Amino acid sequence: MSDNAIKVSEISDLLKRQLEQIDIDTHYDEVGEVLEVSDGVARIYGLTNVGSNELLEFENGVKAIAMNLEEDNVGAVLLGPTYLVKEGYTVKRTGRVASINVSEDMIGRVINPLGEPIDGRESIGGEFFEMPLERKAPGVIFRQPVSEPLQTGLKAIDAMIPIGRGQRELIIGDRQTGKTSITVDTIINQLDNFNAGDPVYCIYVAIGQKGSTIASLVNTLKEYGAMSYTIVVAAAAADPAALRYLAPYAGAAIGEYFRDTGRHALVIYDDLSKQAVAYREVSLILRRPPGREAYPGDIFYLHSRLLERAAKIIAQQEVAEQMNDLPECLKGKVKAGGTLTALPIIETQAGDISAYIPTNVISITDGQIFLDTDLFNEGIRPAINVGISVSRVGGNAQIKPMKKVAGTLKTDQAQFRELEAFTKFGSEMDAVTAMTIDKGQKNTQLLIQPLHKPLPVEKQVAILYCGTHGLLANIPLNKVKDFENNLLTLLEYSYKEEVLNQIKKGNFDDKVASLIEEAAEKIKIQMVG
Amino acid sequence: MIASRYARALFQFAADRQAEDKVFEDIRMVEKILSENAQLKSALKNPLLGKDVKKQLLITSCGGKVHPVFERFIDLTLQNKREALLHNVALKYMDFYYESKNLAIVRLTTAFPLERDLENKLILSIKNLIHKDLMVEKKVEPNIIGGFILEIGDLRWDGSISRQLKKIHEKLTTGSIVRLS
Repeated sequence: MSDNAIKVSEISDLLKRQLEQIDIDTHYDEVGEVLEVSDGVARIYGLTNVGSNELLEFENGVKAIAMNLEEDNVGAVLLGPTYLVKEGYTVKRTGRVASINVSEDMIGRVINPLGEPIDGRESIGGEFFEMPLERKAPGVIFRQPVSEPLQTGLKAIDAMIPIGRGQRELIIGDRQTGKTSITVDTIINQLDNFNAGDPVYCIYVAIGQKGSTIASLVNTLKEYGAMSYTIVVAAAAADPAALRYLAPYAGAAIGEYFRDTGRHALVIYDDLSKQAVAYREVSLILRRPPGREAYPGDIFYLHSRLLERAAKIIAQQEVAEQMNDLPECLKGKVKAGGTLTALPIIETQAGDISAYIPTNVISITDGQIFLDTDLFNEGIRPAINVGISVSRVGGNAQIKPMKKVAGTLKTDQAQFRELEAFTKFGSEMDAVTAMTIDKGQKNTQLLIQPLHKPLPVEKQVAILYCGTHGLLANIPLNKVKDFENNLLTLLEYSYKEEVLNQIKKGNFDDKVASLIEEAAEKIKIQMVG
Repeated sequence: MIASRYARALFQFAADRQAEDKVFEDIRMVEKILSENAQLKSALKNPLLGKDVKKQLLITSCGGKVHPVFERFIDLTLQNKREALLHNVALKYMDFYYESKNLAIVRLTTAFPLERDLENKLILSIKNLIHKDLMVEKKVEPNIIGGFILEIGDLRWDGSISRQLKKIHEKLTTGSIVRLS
């Protein structure tokens, strides 16, 4: 036997110690009997004292959630395969509402909505915090207006539709318009914050997606080092409807853990239309009355209560400690000033944003980013339709230099789009119109950004300054990309301290502006002669 | 909801005619058969079978003869096409019945038959605890190894050895154990 072999006595001691900890005291269980099982829903007789949303356990360990409490039966949605539960099985109350055990060790892992790892690695350890899936959002006195920016690294968004920490910004568009890519780029862009020691923890909730899609997304995140601060919650297309319906709540519960402990978190729900479909499925099987498009009556509340949980918590510690509906495990651990930003995604059919679910979620969120198939096909990516995209609160969170430089960019671009539509018919145009169009086209080029290449905000400001101040007038349209790359390289090597770092600190005075112009002039001479 | 309305109506109708005990016997039979026989349950749900066939099925399964009150009730359920709810109605009726008689159903599962003394002692102590008359159903289940399982209505007191072993198994096989390294 080698030296490091385990001694028998050690094992026995260990086992003895563990046995001493095991609670084998008997106590009352409240039980019921399964009358009927069908399509992920069990009808149960008994359980007279069961609470709404309570977690139930069948005799073989499968879990369920009580959703319909009727006089003569309880309707429960199964969290495991239907075939494992049979008529006549006994069901036990657990006395707990559905919750997820959150731990710091979850970071970097792929989990299901129950908190179990599904990435094939070791089980999740660390200190667990039992966070309820359904929790009331913080009340008005525990909130604070959005004031810090959440940089997505995308010029088009950070300049024109800025997102603040604690905001809920909807990303909406048809299939294949780059909705997920925007969120992935945003996650990747938080790497700088992570390296700087002030991470924005990201939670990506995949609802009803293909397993292969989730796998490739996780790979992309790994490749860019973004899994070090990201948790992926996945309820794939093959999972029971109940899990798909609960997945966003699990994501929100994890986000709340970071939010309430004074940190910053970003949660992405990809996508809520699939969650609505899963909830419709569950509701119809529970025989709840269908409403418009067969969605149940509380489909609005389904999304509004979820998105209300995104918040910026007040900075006063003594107020934050009094927060409503705090889970037991967080009492005494609350820190003020945390945020939870939500980026819900909605997929539209043929650009129809006036369908039921899209209008609901648009009205709940603090703005939307609308992605357009036509723009996408023209090569304008991210394919953001500036005209109908808004951010209702993010403007307050923009850094000063960006506000100064891009203040008029959104209206300018909208104006240009309109003019461009007109000039498609006629050939004659006056000099002012021609200039507006030229500038608009070049700005459009500037806003195009390759996949997974988020740009730090100081570089965004520098390059957008050139666009909005007409420094690109003499550059041919097809050279705009080269100009951008050359300028950014030059700034990085020769003007880092005087320009980039100044902008980062929030200083944008005439001196910085003139230095950018000087650099732009150098590039122009080099390119055009 | 619907099932409890039917059950309440049947109970009151039977009570008015002092037939609740007789109907209870029939109902208990129906409940037992429905929970044991899935085929009968699906036959009742089958829209291809006529009322007469279903009625005959039910009466035959109750031993060929039912109380006239219950027979009327079967007619009513079939007429209203609520025969699929019969199982729920039966369960609910039994609840109403036990409540009116101040009865409690007690299911006692043991690994081996209990001695009469011990059993009486146990029953007496339960009686004193819940102040109700008891209807005891005894069951011998060697699988529980030792101890006993006591069920009173919705409540279950599981003091079996098998549960304790299962608890230990769970504890040893799931995450929170002390790592050897």
